[in-house]
Amino acid sequence: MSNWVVRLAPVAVHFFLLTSQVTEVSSLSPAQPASLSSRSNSKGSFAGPVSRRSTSLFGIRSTLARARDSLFSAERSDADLKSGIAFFYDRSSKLWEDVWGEHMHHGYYVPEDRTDHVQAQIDLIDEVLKWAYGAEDLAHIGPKRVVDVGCGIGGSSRHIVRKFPGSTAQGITLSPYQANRGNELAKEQGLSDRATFQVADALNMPFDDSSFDLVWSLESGEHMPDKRKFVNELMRVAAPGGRLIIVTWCHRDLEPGEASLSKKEEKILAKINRAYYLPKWCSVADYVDLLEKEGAVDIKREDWSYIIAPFWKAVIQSSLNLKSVIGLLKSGFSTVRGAYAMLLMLRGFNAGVIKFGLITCTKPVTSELPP
Amino acid sequence: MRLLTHNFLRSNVKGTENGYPLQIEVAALNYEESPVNKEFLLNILPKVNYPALRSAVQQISHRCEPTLPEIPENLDVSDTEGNEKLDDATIVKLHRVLLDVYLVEGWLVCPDTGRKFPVKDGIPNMILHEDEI
Repeated sequence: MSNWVVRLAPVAVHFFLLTSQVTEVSSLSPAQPASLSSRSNSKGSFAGPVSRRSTSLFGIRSTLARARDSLFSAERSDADLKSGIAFFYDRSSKLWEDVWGEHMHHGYYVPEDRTDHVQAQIDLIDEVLKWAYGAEDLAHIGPKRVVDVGCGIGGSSRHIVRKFPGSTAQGITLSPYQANRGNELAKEQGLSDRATFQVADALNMPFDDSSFDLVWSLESGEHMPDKRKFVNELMRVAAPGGRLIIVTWCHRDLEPGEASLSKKEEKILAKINRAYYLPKWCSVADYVDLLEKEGAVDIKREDWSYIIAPFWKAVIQSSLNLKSVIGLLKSGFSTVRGAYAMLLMLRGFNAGVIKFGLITCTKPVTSELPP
Repeated sequence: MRLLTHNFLRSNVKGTENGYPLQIEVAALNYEESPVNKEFLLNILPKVNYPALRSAVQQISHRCEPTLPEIPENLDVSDTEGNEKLDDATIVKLHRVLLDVYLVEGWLVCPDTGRKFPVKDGIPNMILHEDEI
């Protein structure tokens, strides 16, 4: 696709976004994600009107506040982030699934010009597993209990339980729509006894310590506002001897002496964060540090930015046909903004600030772990 | 939400000593038989907390149409050899109870704090509120 489309599109899209933001809010149905339930300011009440303060998604005052925050690419609070994530995925998952299918992650573009995008997404899971376990034939390895942290509509979970006989997967997501869709697809595929999905917070997982042989997080780490807590939870629910696999967008490692990214780099990320409901980014090196502190062993890392980069061009091209555009317009402002942010992602990859990182490690078998 | 799923869920509310097992309050149950896969069952049995399963069955059986089968009172599920020797009738009963009963609407209640996690459309929502973390 010619470069001029990629360059001019932001101008047109930006104008559209500004005008659609107001209309979207007034047309939002009252059906909110369950995670919001109605908070108001009280503790523990489940009934009553939605608070009109910061976590409200309705009302002119909050619309203007959000438009202002949008303009300045302001960072969101953790509470707004959580409700925003649920909202974003409740709204966008259907369109994504219609165009891209059940896998909500990057594809593995080897060869670079492959066009079988769905297979590329499936291949990514397989290649990540191969890389992490370091073995060609994974049938011997067979994790039995898998947790899919930030599971989307469960594509990875279902694929993994098919791959490892006798295994089960629990997937968690903040989005009730996704959990429901995940269960539906599992039923359709005859896997509903092996892959189940629930609404839960990755930073406070409703599972016992040491429950899973494989702790899988494919492109969900980006959403976690507290990376330390996230890594802590991943290690907590991993069984001794179990494996963690984290595949996530990171910013480039900082050079020695560098305190932070450049202003220009921060700006690209800040805009993407608004669109995708992301907190501040960290680097792969940061993840390695956190895992080391948690007592993880055999930590391996890899950079697959070049392998997945063709995915963004493919996604952008896929959104430039009539069916997708109509779908986009129907899905509302936040989804359109997400589409716009794809251009920013591409820019970020080309500028070397965004990296597609892989990290894996195991939880030691000994019972004594560092505090 | 099946009882198999319930068996693995716990409450993490701040101040909980032991948020397991979650008590079940039924608003709507569904029962749908599915083909029994003995190999699968033998694979997952060692991971199941059997007393928790028994207590879950007790809590929901009064609401279940048709009535749930009686599973053995005690079972050492970690004894894989013993599991292999279980007769087919017991295997079927365990399968029905673990996989064929669904809590469609209701609540999962933390045994420590009493906090109720809603189950809607068969999906438990385990997200904690800001003040419970």
